[in-house]
Amino acid sequence: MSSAEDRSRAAFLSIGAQAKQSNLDRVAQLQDAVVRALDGHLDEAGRLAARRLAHTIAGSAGTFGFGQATGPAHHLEDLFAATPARPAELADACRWLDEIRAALASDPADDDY
Amino acid sequence: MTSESAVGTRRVLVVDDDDSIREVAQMALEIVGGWQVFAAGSGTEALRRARAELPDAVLLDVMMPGMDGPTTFSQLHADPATCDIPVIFLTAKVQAGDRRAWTHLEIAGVIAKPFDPMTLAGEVSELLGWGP
Repeated sequence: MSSAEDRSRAAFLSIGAQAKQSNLDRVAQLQDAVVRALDGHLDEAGRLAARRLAHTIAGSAGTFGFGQATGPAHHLEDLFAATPARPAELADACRWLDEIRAALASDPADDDY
Repeated sequence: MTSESAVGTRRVLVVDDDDSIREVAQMALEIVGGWQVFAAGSGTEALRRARAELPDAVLLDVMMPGMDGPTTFSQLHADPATCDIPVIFLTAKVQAGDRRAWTHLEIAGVIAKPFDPMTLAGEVSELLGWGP
């Protein structure tokens, strides 16, 4: 591995640690949105914010070695893209959130750096 | 603006509202690509930096709060100072329907997120026809 790649890898790992925490924070916010949606209290602004959160996780997690989070994040993005969110899929949302948490709790895939 | 800069170093503007994605893309293009990279966290900031720096290319996130990527692109395209700068969409939103919605935009290409930081510079070079 070249010196440039060594420096890149170290820098990416540092940024990746920050990204992991940011994505965990986003999951917590998405959990709140799911609860509000299940209660029928998620307004349009909340739906759009939830969609953006899921979209950000979908793009971010895999870039930093947590590729298993990408699929469930895309499912959540699609869920919150619908107006209104479909009740049957809302039931799946908690499982998708758990899958994202599990992916973020694992070690990042080494070959992503 | 699309040709090699006189000093021989590519100059690229990275636009993304996600701090981590912006930082990792900037670092990847600087360290792996050896390019000079500017960064912006919003569409509004991107317009300002593009007009000030006149980069050789812009990597532009699509879904951003406030001014989104397509709107930012349209404003860059409408400005004589920045209209010739090639723009690549960098986005997690790459379903077929989304690509169709962008066909009327004269973008240089789309790079999907997640992306591999180690190959990002190569992907940009390939889309823009920049030689090694």
